[in-house]
Amino acid sequence: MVAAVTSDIIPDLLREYGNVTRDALVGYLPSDQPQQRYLYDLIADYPQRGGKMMRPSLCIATARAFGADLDDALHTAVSIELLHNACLIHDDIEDDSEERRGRPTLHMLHGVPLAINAGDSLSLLSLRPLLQNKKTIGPRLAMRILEETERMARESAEGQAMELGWRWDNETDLDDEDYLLMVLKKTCWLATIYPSRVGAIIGSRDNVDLDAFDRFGFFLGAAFQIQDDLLNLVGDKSYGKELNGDILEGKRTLMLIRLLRLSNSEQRKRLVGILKLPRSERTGIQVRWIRKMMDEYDCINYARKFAHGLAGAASHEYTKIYSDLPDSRDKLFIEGLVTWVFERT
Amino acid sequence: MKKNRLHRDDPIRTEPIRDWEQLFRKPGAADSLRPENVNGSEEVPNESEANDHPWDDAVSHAVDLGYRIIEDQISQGKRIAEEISERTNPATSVGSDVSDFVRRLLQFNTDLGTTCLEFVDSLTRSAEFSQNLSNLVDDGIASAGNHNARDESHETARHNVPIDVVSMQPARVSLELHNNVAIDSICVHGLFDLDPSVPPLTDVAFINSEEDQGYVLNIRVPPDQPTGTYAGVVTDSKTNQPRGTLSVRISQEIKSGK
Repeated sequence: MVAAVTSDIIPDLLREYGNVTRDALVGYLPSDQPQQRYLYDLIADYPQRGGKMMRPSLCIATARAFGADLDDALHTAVSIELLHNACLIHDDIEDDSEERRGRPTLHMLHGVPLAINAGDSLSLLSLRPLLQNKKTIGPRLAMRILEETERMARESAEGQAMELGWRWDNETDLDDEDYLLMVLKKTCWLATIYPSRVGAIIGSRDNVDLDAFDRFGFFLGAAFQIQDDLLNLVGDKSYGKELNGDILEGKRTLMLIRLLRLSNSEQRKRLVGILKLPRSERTGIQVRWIRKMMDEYDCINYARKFAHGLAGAASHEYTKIYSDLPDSRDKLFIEGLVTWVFERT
Repeated sequence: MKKNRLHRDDPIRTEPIRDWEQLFRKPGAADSLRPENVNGSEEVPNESEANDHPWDDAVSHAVDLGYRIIEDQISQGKRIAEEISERTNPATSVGSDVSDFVRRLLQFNTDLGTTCLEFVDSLTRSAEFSQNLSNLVDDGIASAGNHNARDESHETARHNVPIDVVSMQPARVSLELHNNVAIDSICVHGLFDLDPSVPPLTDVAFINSEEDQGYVLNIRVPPDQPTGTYAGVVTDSKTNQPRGTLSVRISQEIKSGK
């Protein structure tokens, strides 16, 4: 009964690997420094708010599934979590988001300039654990992971630029392919592809074909992102961000892109007009109208099915990668992530 | 309120589907495989038609699209990796690396040689260095007992003391001075042959010459001076301490060029 096992193993390993990563991460956060109030307290804020710790856990589990010790993957896992939090700070500014993990975003608390600076510092701080890799897994693998990190950072920046550019130009002529390509770069590389690839590099001593991890990570990450966007429309308060916040921000989600393609000319004209407005000028009435239209055109269900299809492909790719490896908790964890994506609230 | 459970029909297949390309197809692609469509035209439904079967099409569309995008991404990644590999792999760039290494090695040697020559040149222009070098060489020669092995021009260059010899017969001069010689106070009282009956050379003097802008060693050999080696001590006229030696060899062999 895989489902029964994974239902326990996902929260268990997320907690176990998350705690180990968080404990190690704290060691990289400077304390009692002269700039504590304006920099280091800000840097420590988001990591201390919790989070699912999916990214570092996936990295550790992948490495261990291939036979590595936890300590071999720990520095890389810490780096992933540091960089993820750095990206969240900048994302919140770029999206003008107000809430993160149930609390006001960093720039709402401290202002945009200090938040940008904290994000920059956190990004650079994420390099330090990668340099520590030299001691634990040797210079060759440490260098390989730095190469992977450069690729991931480039892909992520390109994806973020795509989405921000679409909003800047009020791009409305988009389709599912555009959306998937953007998600591949913006979300999947940091969230799932990179943790899988570097975990496999560590576990196999760089002796495994990494293409399959691209496929697995992409399908898992894309399903994760679509579900995340769905939760923004249908989630409860525990989701951690403001409900319908993505509509308010004009974020090009799969549901919005679907609505833009299916709506009639009059509705589309109104929709484009609303999206053209700055966020501050969009009203609650307009947001609720868009949300209602998504229901009318069944955009929510379409996106949900779309995500299920991607999750199925992720399961298929999982089998291709892991079927020959010995059974382990880590294998079950990675397999279970595919269904866990939809169990989140 | 009790939720309605999602119910799916039992799958038609009786065994696992191993062919991934057959498992996920474009919307409507399965229809083309039906017997009635095999020989007919293949029609792919448009979006409005796809909406008539939203459950199946959204899933297959997502997977089909997803695979196309990730395969493109993988191909792109491989192209980039190959480009980087070509730039960094020594096996593929050994020719250019070796030639570059040789070029840099030659450049290094050229630079080093130029530097050495400039260094030596600056040293030889230094009077102090020349003096020290001269004394060093002289000491070596003296210890080997080879006092007569150098020619006139060599002596002149070593001591920076020009030697002016006036002689009808071939003459070879050897001047050896100690360190820190005060050139303005040295003198030679006479150069003597080993045979006491042979008259000495007495017209020998260090003269301050305006023409040569410094001291010149003048030696005048009388026309009837017997062949032989004439030697004497260079002394400091103020302290009467020996400051070197001077010898003049008059020989017919030199004259004949043998």
